[in-house]
Amino acid sequence: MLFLCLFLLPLPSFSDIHEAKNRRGEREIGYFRFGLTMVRGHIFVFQDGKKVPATLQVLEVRSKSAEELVYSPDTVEGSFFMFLPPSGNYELWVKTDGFEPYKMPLYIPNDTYLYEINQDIHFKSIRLLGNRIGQNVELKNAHYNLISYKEKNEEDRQQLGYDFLLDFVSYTFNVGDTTRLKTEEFDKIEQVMAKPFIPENLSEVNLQADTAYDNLLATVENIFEQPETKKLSDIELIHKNEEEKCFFRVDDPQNEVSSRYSFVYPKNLGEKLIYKHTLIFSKKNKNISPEQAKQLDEIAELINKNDELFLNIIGHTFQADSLHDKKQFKASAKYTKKVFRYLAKKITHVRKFALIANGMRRDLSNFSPEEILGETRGLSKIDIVVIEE
Amino acid sequence: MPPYQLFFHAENTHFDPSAPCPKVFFRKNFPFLLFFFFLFLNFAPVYGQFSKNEIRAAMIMKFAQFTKWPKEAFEPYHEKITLGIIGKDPFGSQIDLIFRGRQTHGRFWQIRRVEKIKDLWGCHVVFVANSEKDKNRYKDILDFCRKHDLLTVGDNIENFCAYGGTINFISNDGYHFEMNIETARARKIIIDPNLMKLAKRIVAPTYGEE
Repeated sequence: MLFLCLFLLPLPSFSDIHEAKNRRGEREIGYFRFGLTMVRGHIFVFQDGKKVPATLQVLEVRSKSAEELVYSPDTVEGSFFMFLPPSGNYELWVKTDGFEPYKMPLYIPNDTYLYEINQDIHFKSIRLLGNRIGQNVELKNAHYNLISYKEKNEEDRQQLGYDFLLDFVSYTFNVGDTTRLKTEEFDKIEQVMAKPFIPENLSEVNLQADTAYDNLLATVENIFEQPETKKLSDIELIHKNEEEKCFFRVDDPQNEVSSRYSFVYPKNLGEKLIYKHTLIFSKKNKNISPEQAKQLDEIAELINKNDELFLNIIGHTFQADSLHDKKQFKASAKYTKKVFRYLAKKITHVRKFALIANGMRRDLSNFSPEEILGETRGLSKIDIVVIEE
Repeated sequence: MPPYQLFFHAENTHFDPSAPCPKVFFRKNFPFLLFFFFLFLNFAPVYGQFSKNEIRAAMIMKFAQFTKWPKEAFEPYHEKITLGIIGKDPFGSQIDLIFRGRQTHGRFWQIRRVEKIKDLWGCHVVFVANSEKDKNRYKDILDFCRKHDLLTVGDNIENFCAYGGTINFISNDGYHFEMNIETARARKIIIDPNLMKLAKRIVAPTYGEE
């Protein structure tokens, strides 16, 4: 019955020109109101290989206002729905628990009637020594379908509208929220299906070229014009990797030490601290143990894989009093060099070592006996800090 | 600075007080420094900022720029250059953004996304998406294009050029392409020889006769 009622609803006719408010709230007379663009498709979000629920948020780029008619994908079929004004730039934010949101640019051209987006978005954790230090987002199986008002005749447009409506109704049943069918939002969906007013020269209304692509087009043209001197592989310079990596920042209060001989980092240097690994040496264990070697290997592997990551190796001494013990300082320097030499064999480029330093004094009373292996004398602590520049 | 504060710095930043004064270094090596400054000023690197699809879209536009169509191809004379995309569109709205407001041979662009082959009538450039490689549908598309003055661009479709396609992107690199210059000649469209120099392979047409 509900379905029948939906089809029998009369379609409202649009007034061609009317008085309206634009996004900034200013009054505009003679503002054309076109039908909204129906955006639908399937977005599957995977977390480390498992399908997970996700929510979508759409922001208009200029005003940064959130669009209201956005229905997030269901976990069964991954189908989502949106109603957006055409000829607009949007940011589509895909949010899922435990990860930083992923942003996709979305531009809806003029006189677009239906826009289908089908994508698989894979969120993967980057781990180091069992800890999550970042995330990697990868897009797979992306294809789109844009249908223009002009390309379709009126009957086809109505048919597409009804198909869309049926899909939307079944989506609301899947999600289990049928209340939407009775609210004002549904009236807006009805309006989308109405015949819009399209001036003949609509596609020329917004014909200004996007200057963001000037550089790209100039580069390609330059290569095409001078094939003797330039190669097509020069394009690699402007090619962006489609995986989006992001490392999480760690705030380490232990680094905020202010004493005469302390060295404060990394806030002064503007670096992003990703992970801090600590090795403790004492009179009993002077060499790098096999377990520590494994940990260092894992760090070296991560540093080699990611171009944006660098290492700081910082040696500390433990002292109970404020006096600086030269013997301890020498021992700390020795251990720092030992760690550096081990890592230098594993890491491919010496440039990966951003800073190697030692001599910072740590107060013993701040550490528990377990942390310092139950010893009080001849201790050295080497911090291996992974940073992003 | 106390000598035990820092003993080594990987970035060549010396804290040693016995090191030469930087002012003297700059005064002595000023001509060399000036030379290197202007050298690197001209060749500043451009960092990656565009996706594979954006680069491909820009290349399609430039393929058209380096191609000449016969007069009959544009009737009426003020007709826009039409890009037809057949199959599952990999570009989405990005290609609309790139082509919007730009002219090639003094004509604006319009993009038409089609499902049926007969809807390609009136296009000047046809992009055959990768989804059409299955069931050899691309052969039907190319048979249609052969009758008209169309520049055909394939998205990593095997034997695309051998069957009569003009340009085919090769997947591994993203933007490298192969060309078939014979088919372009047969269709009264003239392709700039510079494009041939950039092509990774020049393929001879066989039209499936092997």
